[in-house]
Amino acid sequence: MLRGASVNLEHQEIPVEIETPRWEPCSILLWGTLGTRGPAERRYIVRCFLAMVLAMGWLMVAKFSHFRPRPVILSLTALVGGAVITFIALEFRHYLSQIDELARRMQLEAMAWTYLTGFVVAAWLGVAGAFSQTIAHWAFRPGVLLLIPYLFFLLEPVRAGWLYHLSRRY
Amino acid sequence: MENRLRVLRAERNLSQADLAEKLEVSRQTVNAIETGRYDPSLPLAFKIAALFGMKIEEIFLPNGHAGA
Repeated sequence: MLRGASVNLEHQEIPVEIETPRWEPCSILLWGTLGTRGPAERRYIVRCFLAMVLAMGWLMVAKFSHFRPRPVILSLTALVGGAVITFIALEFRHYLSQIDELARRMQLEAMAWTYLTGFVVAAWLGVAGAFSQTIAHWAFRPGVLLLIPYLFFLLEPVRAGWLYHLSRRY
Repeated sequence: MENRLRVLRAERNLSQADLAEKLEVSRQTVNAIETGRYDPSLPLAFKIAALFGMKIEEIFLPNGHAGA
């Protein structure tokens, strides 16, 4: 959004356009990027989208097809998850190296807050796990471990939330 | 820290997007610097100074010295 203003330049008022920061909430919350529309951001979004389509496609195939043996399918599912997330992490590193200093500062700060949030949540999950094992005597299901690579998809919205919060500051 | 970036930009009839392109940063970064919400790094401050052909201290001023 533009709005008019003026700047006093040595006794004369000269109109200056004042533009709002416009860090785009849509890009922030959907992709975890700042909506600057630079080539680095476009590359990151396109490649992440393709990687996620691949991961989701594999999950659908693994879930609804009748491939056997099942343990092989489950192992491949974990492998696909790990590979996709590694790819996204490498792409994010590339994206970080290409963006300007303020955008990088905001991204890194959002990651720092996400780390702390994840640490606190993991600590409380540990407490809940200990409770369930020792007091409630619930059986641990090893199959849950297969979901660990996909925790990335839980952390990304947290990072996007922190990024949105930080973007309001600048 | 205060700065005269908006005034200098206006003197040269540049939009924030024009200036951002010359500085190789995003338009939002130029906006954040102009409004005093973000203090640029030393390399970026040097780049801004070089672009306007001025010294850094002629563009960026300690708080309360904008009119000096």
